[in-house]
Amino acid sequence: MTVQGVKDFIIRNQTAFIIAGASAVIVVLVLGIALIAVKEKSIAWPRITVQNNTPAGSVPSSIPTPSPTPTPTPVPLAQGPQTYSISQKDATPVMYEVWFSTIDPKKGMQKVNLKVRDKAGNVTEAVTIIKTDNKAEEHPLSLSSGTNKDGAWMGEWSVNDSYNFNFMITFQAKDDKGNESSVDLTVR
Amino acid sequence: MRNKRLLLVISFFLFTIFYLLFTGDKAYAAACSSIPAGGDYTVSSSCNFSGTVDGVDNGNLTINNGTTLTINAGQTVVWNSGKSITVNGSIIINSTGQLKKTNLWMTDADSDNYPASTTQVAQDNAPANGRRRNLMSSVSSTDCNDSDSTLQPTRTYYTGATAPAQQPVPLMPKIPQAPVA
Repeated sequence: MTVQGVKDFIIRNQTAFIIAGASAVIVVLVLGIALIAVKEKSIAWPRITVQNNTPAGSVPSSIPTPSPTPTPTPVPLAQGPQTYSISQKDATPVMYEVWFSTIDPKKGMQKVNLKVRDKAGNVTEAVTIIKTDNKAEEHPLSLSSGTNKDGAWMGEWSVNDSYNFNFMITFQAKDDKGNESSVDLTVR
Repeated sequence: MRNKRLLLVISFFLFTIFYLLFTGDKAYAAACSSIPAGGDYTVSSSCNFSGTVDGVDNGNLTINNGTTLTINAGQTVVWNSGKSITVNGSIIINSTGQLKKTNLWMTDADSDNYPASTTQVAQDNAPANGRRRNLMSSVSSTDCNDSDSTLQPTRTYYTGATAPAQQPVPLMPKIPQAPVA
C-alpha cells in the first residue's frame, strides 16, 4: 500500500479512528484512576478519628484522645543546627562537611553550608536537591567563603512540602575539569 | 481541521496521563531495608538505619558505589570486631551520631531467639538477659512471653490433654501450623 493509499484509508475511516482514540483515552483514564487509587491505599496515610462521646449540651472537660494512633509514626528529627561529616571514596570535587540551620524546617526556611575541596581544578557549581514526600526541588549554592579550590557554599530556601516519610538531601558539585560528584543525605 | 484538533486534544490527554502515571515515581530510598539479624549487609541504595541503635551483627557492612549511608543525630551504628566496613560509596555522620565497633544485643530472657522488645543495645559485654542479635530468629517480631521459651510468635497451641482432637487455641499472633498427629 502506498503512502497515498494509507492517507486515503485514514480519510475513509476517520470516524472509526476517532472512536478508537476516544476509547483508548477512556481506558487509560480508568486504568490511571484505578492505579492512583491503589497507590494511595498502599501508602496508608495516618488517620486520626476523634471520638465524640460528649452528651448533648455539656462542655468537654478535656481534649479527646485521638484513636487509633497514627501509623506509621514519622521518625523523630533532631532539633536545632546540625553538622555532618562526609566521607567519599575517589570523589572529585570532595564534599567533606555540611551544616544545616535545621533539618526539621516545618515548611519554613532552611539554610545550608557545604564545604567542598577540589585538588584537580576549581569548583564551578554546587547544588542541593531536596526530595520530600511529594516532589524534588533543586537549589543552587553560592560560594560564601574560602576559594573555589576549598570553600564553603551556601544556600537558603523554603521547604514547602511535607517530609513525614521521605526527606533526602542530595548535594552535587562540579569543577572546571569536568569532574562531578554527588552524595545523598537521608534524613528520613 | 476539526478532526485534527480532536486528535491533538486526544494526544494531549494521552501524554498527560502517561506523564502522571509513569514519571511521578518518588520511591527514593529512606530507611535501610531488609537488614538481617545476623550476617553481611550491603547498602545498595542511599539510606539510613532507623532507631537509635542498629547496624550489622556477625557480618560485614558494604556501602556500594554511588550510594550513601547516613548516620543521623544521636544514632549509633555498630559493626563487630573482626568484621569490616567497606565504603565504595559515601558515608555521612552527624556530629552526635557514631559508628561504633562493638556488639549488638537484644533482651531474650528465655533464650527462644525472640526478643522481648525491638530495643537494641550496643556494648561489648552482654546486658542482663541479653543475647546477641545475630542469634535472633526475628528482630521485629517480639516474644509475647519472654519468661517461657515454649511460647513463641510462630507456634500454635492446643488446650486439653489430647491435643490433636481439640480445636487450636492461639495464644498470640502466629503463623498457623498443622496439628501434630
